[in-house]
Amino acid sequence: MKTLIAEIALEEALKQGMDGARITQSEGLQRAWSLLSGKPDRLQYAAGASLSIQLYQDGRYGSFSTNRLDEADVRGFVRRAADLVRLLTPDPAYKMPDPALLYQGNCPDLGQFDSRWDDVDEAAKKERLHQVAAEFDGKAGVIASEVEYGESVEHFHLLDSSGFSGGYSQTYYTLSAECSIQADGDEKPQGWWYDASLFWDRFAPAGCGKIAWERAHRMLNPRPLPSGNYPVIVEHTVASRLVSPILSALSGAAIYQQNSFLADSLDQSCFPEQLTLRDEPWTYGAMGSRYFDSEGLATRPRSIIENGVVKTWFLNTYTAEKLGMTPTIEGVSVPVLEAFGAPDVVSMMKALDRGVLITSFNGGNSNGATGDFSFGIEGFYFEKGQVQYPIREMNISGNLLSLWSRICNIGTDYRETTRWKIPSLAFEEVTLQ
Amino acid sequence: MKETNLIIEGAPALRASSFSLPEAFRLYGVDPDDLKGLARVALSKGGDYADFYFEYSTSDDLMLRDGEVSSVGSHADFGVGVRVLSGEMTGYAYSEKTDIPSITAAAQMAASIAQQPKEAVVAEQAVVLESAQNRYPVVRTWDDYPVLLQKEFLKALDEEVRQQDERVLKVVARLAHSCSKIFFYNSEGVMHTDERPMASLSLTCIMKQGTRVENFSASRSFRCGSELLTEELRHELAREVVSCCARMMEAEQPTGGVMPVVMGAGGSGILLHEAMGHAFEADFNRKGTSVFSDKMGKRICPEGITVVDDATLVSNRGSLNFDDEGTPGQRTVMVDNGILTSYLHDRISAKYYGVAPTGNGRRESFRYMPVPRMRATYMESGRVAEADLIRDIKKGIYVDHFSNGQVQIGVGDFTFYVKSGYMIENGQLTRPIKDTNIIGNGPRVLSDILGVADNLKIDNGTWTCGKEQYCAVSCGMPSVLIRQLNVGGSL
Repeated sequence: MKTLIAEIALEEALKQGMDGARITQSEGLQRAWSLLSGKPDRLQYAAGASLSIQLYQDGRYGSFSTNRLDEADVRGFVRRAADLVRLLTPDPAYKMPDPALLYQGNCPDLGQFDSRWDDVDEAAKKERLHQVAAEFDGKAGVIASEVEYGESVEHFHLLDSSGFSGGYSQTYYTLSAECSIQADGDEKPQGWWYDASLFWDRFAPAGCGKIAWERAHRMLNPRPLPSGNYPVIVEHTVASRLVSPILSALSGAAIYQQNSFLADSLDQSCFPEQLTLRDEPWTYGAMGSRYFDSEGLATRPRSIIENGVVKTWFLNTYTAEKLGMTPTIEGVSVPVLEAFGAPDVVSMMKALDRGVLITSFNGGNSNGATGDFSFGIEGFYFEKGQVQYPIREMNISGNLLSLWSRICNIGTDYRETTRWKIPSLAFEEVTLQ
Repeated sequence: MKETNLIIEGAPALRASSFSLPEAFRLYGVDPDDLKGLARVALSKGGDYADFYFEYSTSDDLMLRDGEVSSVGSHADFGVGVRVLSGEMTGYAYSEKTDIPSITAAAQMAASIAQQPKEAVVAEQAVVLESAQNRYPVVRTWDDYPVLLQKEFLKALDEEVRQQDERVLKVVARLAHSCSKIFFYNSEGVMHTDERPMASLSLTCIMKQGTRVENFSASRSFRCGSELLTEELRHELAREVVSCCARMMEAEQPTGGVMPVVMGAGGSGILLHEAMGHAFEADFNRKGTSVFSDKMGKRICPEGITVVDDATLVSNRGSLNFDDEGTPGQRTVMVDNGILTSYLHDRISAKYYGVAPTGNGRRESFRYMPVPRMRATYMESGRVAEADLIRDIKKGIYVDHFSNGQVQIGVGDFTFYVKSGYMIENGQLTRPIKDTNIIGNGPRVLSDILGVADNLKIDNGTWTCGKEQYCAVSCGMPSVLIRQLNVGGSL
């Protein structure tokens, strides 16, 4: 990617008297085709480029973006941006990162870009789309099916006034399948499945339609389940929902505002000893892998929680300064939860004997200051290690620290289709209503 | 190209927008003949219809943290989306440049959805739409209330919050305003401009007492200019976040279970948005995947309940002079006296159902194709006092502040997250409650509405709907008693 326009923006920012500036240039292309009940429905094509501009002047800070990239437009945009920054009240915590903490390498290949991007035939992509759509043929009760293939390539480059320059390119292929089936009465349960990969040769969407139908079909004939405390398994498809509030609570922004249930948690044993959560940002070929964050701060593999002890707060330059600490990284890249106990849902059900398997969250939220949560859920009641019947319209509620204190299994079955390497989880006892 | 002006019937004619057609032609570098040529390209492979959505959006924001306004943001987004319809199929492409070669390339991509070439039908005569009433007049521009004054406003807000309660630990305030200059043209010759302002003020208060910390956020958002920033608004928001955060300090998660729920007036409109609004969006019904498919003309609520989706409320966050495919903004009665009377249509679903579009074709930006979306969704007032809804409840909850909601369209299960409310015990509001998810089934809940109060209130918070893409919406409701919902909490 040519970065001339980013260089022009950087030059203009410094010319306008800014102490520091960071320019991120990105370009991308996306294509998608979708079928509705086997027939062409949508075609989408998108190509774009933009600049993201951060300006610093004596404790003043502004964040700007534009997609009008002619030189005159960019220079004018930066001039106006600098004028706005000068009107602010200084906050000494706003400053450019310490150059010693910036990524210093030359970005060896992290397996993010598929060299076949330009080679794969459009017909081959459409063939996969139609093959998956055909998986719904003859399936009982299908009212409508939707299958979409999407692909994208993104190029990204970051420059700053300290001399930092780094970038990467990423390709992405995905296919999703969804269907609605007729239940008794007016209800039409839906099921979905998808596959995604950074590489065409590893992209294996066959079967997505079949799985989507099975996931819809198994939700037929739900039964009410009495309120109570149950052992609970959270399927790998949705388990990250219980991990992300922990990562949010470990963010510098929440901690310095004292708006986190994990404030004062560093080096404290807040979780059970079996819990180890790591960030593995250098995993070759994994979604989310990167050498530096949006400030240019270098990533490295690190423990976030090690044997229950909090080891990392996510501190960018600003929040670290507010807390009087050294910056770490702005956020997690590739979160990996270390396994213990039964490896997957089937073996967890056998181990727990009786309980609830959660396969979908329906709304809900958590309170970042207290860790209190309440989520709507769908899934199955299981007994003697076997699924008995589907359940819906129920909530799980409690406090996240208390919930995680009852973790009893962390599987090995995470999907490679996202950056979240979070497998199925099992908890000894959760309140369901 | 000849032009005819079509004035939409209704209120006294006001200029719809200060963004005129000649300005649009200059900004986007196109003229009527260019547009006809581009439409022919878009229809060159057999499409039935094409439209072009030009947009230039700019936004600015100021953030107050730790007592000072020390960060600012400004963003610009420019481009054109090209849509081609062929039967019910859609081809969509966008360009971030509006020179003719760039738009032509996007039109060619979108055109390829059609596979049976036929002669392109492009109207020779332009039909210029003007809205009868500008629903978002700007009384004072942001240039007339510059950044230094905006900073002072935020600092005064910060001080007001801190003065009200010594437990206030942190205050975060964000002021954001934007303007989108829209120019729309389609192959039927219809064209219009629209200039859409939006101004939002958000305030978060974090309180600490001993080891206990709670936070509460409130916001106001309108399609208006800097007249948003009044002393009244400052007092109102400061009072709201401080009183609600103080209430959170005393609140606990409720004992959960199935129980009667009184939805307080205002933000409880989230119930309508989730329990029925999405299910009435006609794309779901056209595909037959909504639990409300096949319910048109049938009773879905008790008598006396009327639910509206409305683009005509002046300065409302969800209001529109035109939707994003050239249909005039309008008021759509979805449920009339308990009977389902209209879905929310875009052009595609309206054609499928053989009805007129309802002006619900909306999109996040030129990067997205329009789909049926809500605007301001509310229930009309009933006849009883709110206290009458509460009086006979032995045990239930009253809810009045919410953060998010969701719905499963196919089965109708919806949820909304209650940030705060009260227990109802023996007909009285008693202990404050917080952080509970409420879940119910749309069709059942609608038939379970036992009473509607006479206090409709539109909630003017920064509601944003996330169906495939983000759109500004609003909601409203009078207080409503629902026979039973599943309330999350302890046993």
